[in-house]
Amino acid sequence: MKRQWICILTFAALLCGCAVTPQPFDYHDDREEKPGPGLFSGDRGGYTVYGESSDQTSDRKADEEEKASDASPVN
Amino acid sequence: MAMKRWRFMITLVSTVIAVCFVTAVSVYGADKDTLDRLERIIKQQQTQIEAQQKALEELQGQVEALKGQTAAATVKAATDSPAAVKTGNPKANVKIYGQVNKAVLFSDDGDDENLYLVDNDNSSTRVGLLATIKPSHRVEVGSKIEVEYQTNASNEVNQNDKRIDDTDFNKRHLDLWVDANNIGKFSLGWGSTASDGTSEVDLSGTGVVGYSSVGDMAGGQLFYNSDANALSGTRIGSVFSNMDGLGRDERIRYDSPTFNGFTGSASYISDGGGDFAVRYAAKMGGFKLAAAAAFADPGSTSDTVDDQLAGSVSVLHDTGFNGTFAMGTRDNKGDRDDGGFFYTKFGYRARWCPLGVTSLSIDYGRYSDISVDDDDADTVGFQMVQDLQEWGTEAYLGYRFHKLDRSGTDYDDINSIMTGMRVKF
Repeated sequence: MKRQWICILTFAALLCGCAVTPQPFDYHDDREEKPGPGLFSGDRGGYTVYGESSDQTSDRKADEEEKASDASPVN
Repeated sequence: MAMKRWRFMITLVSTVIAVCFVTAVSVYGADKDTLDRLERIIKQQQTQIEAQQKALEELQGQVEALKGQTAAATVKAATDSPAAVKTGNPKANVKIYGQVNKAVLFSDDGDDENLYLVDNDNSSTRVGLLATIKPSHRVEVGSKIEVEYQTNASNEVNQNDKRIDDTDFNKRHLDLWVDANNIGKFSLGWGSTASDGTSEVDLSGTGVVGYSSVGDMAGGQLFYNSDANALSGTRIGSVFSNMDGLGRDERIRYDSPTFNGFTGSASYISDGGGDFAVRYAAKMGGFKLAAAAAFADPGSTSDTVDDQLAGSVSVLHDTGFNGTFAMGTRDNKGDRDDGGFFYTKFGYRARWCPLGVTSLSIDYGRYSDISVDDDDADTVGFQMVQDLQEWGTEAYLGYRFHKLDRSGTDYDDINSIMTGMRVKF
C-alpha cells in the first residue's frame, strides 16, 4: 500500500514539475559541508592549497572587467 | 748673506701686503651690480637646495610606502598559497575543508539518567580534500577524499558504554568524477549512491540536530524493559530507519543534466545491487521546493533487505515557514513483514538577531516493522538551531522522545536532549 502511495506521489510530483517553468534552485543538504565562511578560514570556507580561491577568482574577474571597460571604445 | 735673505723676505712680505690691499680696495670698491648678482646666485642656490630637500623627503615617503606594500604582499603570498606552489595545472583547484561537531547528550531511559559528551552523528566531525580541474568551460574533473573522525559518536554511546574510544578514521568519500554539463556527471569510487539522501530532503535548517534519521541523535541508547526491570538489548537505532537507499558505497554512478528542475540518477554498487533516483529542486514564486525519490536494491550486499522505495519532499516559503515529509517502505528478505515509515516536520526560520538565522522545528515520525515484525516505534522532537554566520558556526538544541511498542514486551520511553556546536574550519 505504501509502495503505491510513494509511486503515485512521485508521479504526481513529476507531472506538476513538468507543468510549470521553475526558477533554478540548488538544494543543499544542511548536514553536509556548510556553504559560506569558516571560523578559521574566513570567507574562503576552507584552505585553498593550490589554485585560486574564490576571493582571488572574484578579484581576477573584477580586474578583467575593469581592463575590458578601460579598453572600451566608449572610454 | 743673512742680511740679503732678510731683505728679500721683507721685500716679499711688503709686496704681498700691497697686492692684498690693492685687491681689497678694488673689491670694496666694486660696483653694486656685482654684489647684487652674487646675492641672487646665492638665493637661487638656496632655493634649489630647499627644493631638493623637499624632493628627497617625498622620495623617502614613497620608499617607506613601497616597503609596506612589499611586506603586505609577502604576507598575502604566504597566506594565499598559490605562490607557494610553482608547478601544476593553473586550471586546477585543491581545497582542504572540514568541521567539528561536538555536543552534550542527556538521556533518560525511564530507569536511569545519563550524560554523555558526544560527537553529533547527525553531521559528524570530518575533514576532506576537494580537488577540481576545468579543462574547458563545459567539463569539470574532480576528486574528493573525505573522512570522519568521531569519538563517542552520539549514535553509539549507551548506558553500558558511555565512553567509546574509537580513534579510527571512517571513509565517507573516496571518489572521482567527470562532470560534462551537456551529458551529465559520471562518478566512480566510494561515495554517495544515487539513492543516498533521498529520504532526507529537508529545508528546515535544523537537520544538524534532528531529521528523518532519528537514530543519529541518540541511536545507541538501550530501551529499559520494565517487565524484567533490566536494560534490554534493543537500541533506538535498530528500530528507527529512514530507509535512505544504499547510502555510501563503492559504486559507479551517473547523474543526468538538470531538466526543468529534475535530475535523474542511477548507480551500480560493487558486488551486486543498484538503485535509481529522481530529484527535483526549484523556486516557484515565494516557495523553494526540493524533493527526491528512489528505488534501491542492495542485492547480495544485504542479508535482510530485498529492496526499498523511499522519498521525501520539503518546501520553504519566503516567510520562513517550512514543511517536510518523508516516507518509505522496505521489502524484507524471508518471511518478514514489509517495513515502513513516515516522518513529518514543520518549522520556521527567521533572522531575529544580527548574528544569523534562527531555525525552529517540531517533528513526528512512525517507524514500523524495522527490527521485528509488529514493532511500532514513534518519535516526537523539537529542534532549534542558531546560525552564527560570520563565524561559520551553528549552536543547536534538540529534544527527542522515543517510544517502542513491541508485542509481549513493555519498554519504557526514552527522552533525550542534545545541545552543542558545529564549527566549520
